[in-house]
Amino acid sequence: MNGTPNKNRTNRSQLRRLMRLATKELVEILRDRRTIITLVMMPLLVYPLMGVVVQKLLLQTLSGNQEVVYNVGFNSKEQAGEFTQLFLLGNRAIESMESSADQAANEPPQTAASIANELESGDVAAPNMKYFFTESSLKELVGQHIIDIGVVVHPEKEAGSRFEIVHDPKSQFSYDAMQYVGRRLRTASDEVFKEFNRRFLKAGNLPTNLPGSYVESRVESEPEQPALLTFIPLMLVLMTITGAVYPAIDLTAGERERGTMEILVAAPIPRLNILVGKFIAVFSVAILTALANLLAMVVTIYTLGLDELIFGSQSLSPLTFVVIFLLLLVLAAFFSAVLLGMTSFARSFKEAQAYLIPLMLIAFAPGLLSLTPNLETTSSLAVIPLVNIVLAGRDLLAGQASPILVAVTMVSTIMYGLLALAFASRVFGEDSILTGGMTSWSDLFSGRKEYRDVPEFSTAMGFLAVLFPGFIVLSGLVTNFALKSEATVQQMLWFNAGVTAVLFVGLPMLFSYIGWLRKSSTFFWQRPTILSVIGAGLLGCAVWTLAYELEMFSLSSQRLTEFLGLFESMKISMKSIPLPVKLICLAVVPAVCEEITFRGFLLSAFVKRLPVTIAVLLTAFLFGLFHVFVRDVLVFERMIPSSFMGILLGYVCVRSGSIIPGMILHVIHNGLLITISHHEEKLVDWGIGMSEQKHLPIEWVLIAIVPIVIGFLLLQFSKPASKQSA
Amino acid sequence: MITAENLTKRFNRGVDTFEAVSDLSFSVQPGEVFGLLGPNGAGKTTTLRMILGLVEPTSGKVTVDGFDVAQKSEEVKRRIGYASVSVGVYPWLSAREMLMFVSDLYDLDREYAHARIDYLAETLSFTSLLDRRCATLSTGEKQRVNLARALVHEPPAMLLDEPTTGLDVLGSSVVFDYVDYLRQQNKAVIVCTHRLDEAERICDRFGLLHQGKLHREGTVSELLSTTEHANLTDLFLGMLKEESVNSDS
Repeated sequence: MNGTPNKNRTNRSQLRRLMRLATKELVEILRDRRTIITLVMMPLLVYPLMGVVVQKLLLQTLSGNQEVVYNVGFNSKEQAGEFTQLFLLGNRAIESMESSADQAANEPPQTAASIANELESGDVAAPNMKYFFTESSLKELVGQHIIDIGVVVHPEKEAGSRFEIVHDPKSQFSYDAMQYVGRRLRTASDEVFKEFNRRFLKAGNLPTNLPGSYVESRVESEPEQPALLTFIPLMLVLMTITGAVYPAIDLTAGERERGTMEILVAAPIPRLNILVGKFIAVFSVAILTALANLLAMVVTIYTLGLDELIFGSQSLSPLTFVVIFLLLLVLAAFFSAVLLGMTSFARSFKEAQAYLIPLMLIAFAPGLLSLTPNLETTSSLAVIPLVNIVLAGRDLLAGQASPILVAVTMVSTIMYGLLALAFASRVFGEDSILTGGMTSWSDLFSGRKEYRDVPEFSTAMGFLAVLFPGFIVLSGLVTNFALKSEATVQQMLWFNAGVTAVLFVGLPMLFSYIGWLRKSSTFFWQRPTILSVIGAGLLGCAVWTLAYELEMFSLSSQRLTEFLGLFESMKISMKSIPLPVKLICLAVVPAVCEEITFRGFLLSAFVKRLPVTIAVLLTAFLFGLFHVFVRDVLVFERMIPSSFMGILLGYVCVRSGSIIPGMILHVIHNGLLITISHHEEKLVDWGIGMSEQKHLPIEWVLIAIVPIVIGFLLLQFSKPASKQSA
Repeated sequence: MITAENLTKRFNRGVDTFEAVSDLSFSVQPGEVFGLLGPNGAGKTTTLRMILGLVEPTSGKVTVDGFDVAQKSEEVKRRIGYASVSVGVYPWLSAREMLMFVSDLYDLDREYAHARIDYLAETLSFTSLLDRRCATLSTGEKQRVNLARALVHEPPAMLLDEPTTGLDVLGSSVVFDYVDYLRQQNKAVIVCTHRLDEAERICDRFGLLHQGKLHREGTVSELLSTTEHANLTDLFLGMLKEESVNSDS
């Protein structure tokens, strides 16, 4: 016998094995008829059934004695009297057609003046209408939905008066009121009925000169958000959580109960991969359930004719559909990750249910938030889990979403999902969970009291999930505080430098302290070789030219003009600040702190789990992402040059085995840009300037290539002073 | 093949710690069946889980085929087959689907995997059950499928945890035949059980575990030669008696 494992192995990629895991989980769930019945068939039956019940109830309510009353506005009682006379004639004619003519004929005719007198005494003059008298513009009142319609009477010399009905076609009630009134006025003005009405008026010894026809008028009000549209995020929360609960329990606690968990944890697959496979399965079922719910709901709504009430006058537009689908994806991904995270702690189906019931109740609260009128989405709310998705959904559906807040919502939600999966992977399949005995939630945080070389992947995810919201909230707080306290630009710079230090140095240090991590290996805190320091220094001096050109290529001319304006105002406000202060706050502090977080804590965690190239690329992507968020705007164009710098700094760190050359490169790079900007006027005086052109002079780029090449060669040939365990 | 050196595992129990395994050392060679024996709670399962890399030892080291479990967990898992009576089957998959899924987890070539599954089903006498859904199988049939599952990737080492618990005479005899088969296949096998009579029948060498400590180790004849006991069960009961007398005094 030899000790080698089976020779008939393939070299399947991690992704294929992951998909195999996910497929098996899906097959298991979908073959269980209970899943199909509970999650997919039930909504298809329940919604139409509910729809029929609601329709019956509505019909019963409408067939009762409840009367619709329209609020009608007039500029004077005289005008109201004139309108009412014609309205009543029309109403009488319609009633005589629809009921017995005798009954209608018994009612005595009235003059406009007598009606106006009745209005003075406060009597209601016309059925289903309540009159309001105002000197304000009726159009404005209709536009603000204070009244349903307004009636303006225009006296005509030859043929009585002309009636203008002001209504808002976007409001169903206003439209109905216009139809109700319009039909009666048209009938009264109709030639067929004019003779009938004249005889009627003559019999009552009243003047027979009837007013003229009426004119419709539209008011373009502010687009009214249908009241029920805000229910959609709440419904989506319910749909997705319902879909995710059963498979999440079944694939974790259920699997533990069946004893099949050990098959997975005994296989040569990282636990995080097993969890991701399960996540894909739970996510798919959640989406499937939500789509079944959505389909059943939409069909029911259209069948009942409630579409305009819920989706507004445009009905279910393609944009609304896309937004709803995106929301479904985000909610399903979030709930799948969180539910898997929670149920991974449970030892039985029952225990998992006990964990999830409070979560489901808690999930209602953010859902209900979307119904709160005038609740504005802020940067703080945009990082609160679930609340952020619901509010972003509400704002997107209303067409009032802020791109930066939606971006913050998406990024923080992804971070929370990853955090939940990473936590779950720490306990998933642990012996204590398998045998059901000896763990507690505190064990998750206490860990073993022995030093580790580098952070676990789960620790890195946890770190990111704290860093990102912390970055958004603290930056916002500092800006607000500085504005309120009327801080100077220099004070602002110091505040921001402080926040950068707290977040990008304090936080990783805290995580390394709690996680018993060796600082030297976690942060690549090694003595570098002279060659690597010189190489990094050369790159720092020259690489800004490439980063600059990359940024220029990614900027449209319109965005470039916007940025030039922005930078011009920044330059003016920073002009008076001494160069050393700018260098410390904008070059040294960010460079050193960002290196500690990105090339230190995160890169060391990723290198342990992933191939070096992927780890460097991932760190660079995160580095670029953090540079996209600039105060209250999103500068997507910074992604490319910042990620490029991230790749370069990652390469320098991996090649040198130390964080120090990267710090030197980063400081020189930032420092050069700050110094050039500080002395721009002098440089222009000396004939070194480029404010009039977009790209750098070609000779600058060609000259810069020389130190870049030498820098790379030095780094390539320098051997790390000490080997990293990673 | 399998070496455990000074293995210790402590669990947190609120403010106290509980030592499930204490300074345990032993080794198992290819073609050898080692019985890790002891009453319930002796630390047998925890030891197996440490060997498999499911539980991190508080201290000590395990190597399988020269690979340190703490450093090369995946390499170790590729070299170990693990079967336990507590391991279940996927109720909604057929036996063949389940075994194919496991062979995919171990990255086996699919053609090879099909042939291997047919071979194992024939060896363990469940060919007719291959396409039946696992939920419809009896306890003994499920156990056979599970034994095949542990062998599908042809591991050089096997860990069997209480393999006969809950099985009738017929089911147990399948397990005994299986262990014989493993021995013939030159695999290093560790069997954990509290059934000392059965262990005496199937194991070559024994480690007597009690309260996390290895009290005695050797072949039946070696163990019995130092005492007056006639069999392992008597030896073990005598050992427990001695322990309780010592702790009382």
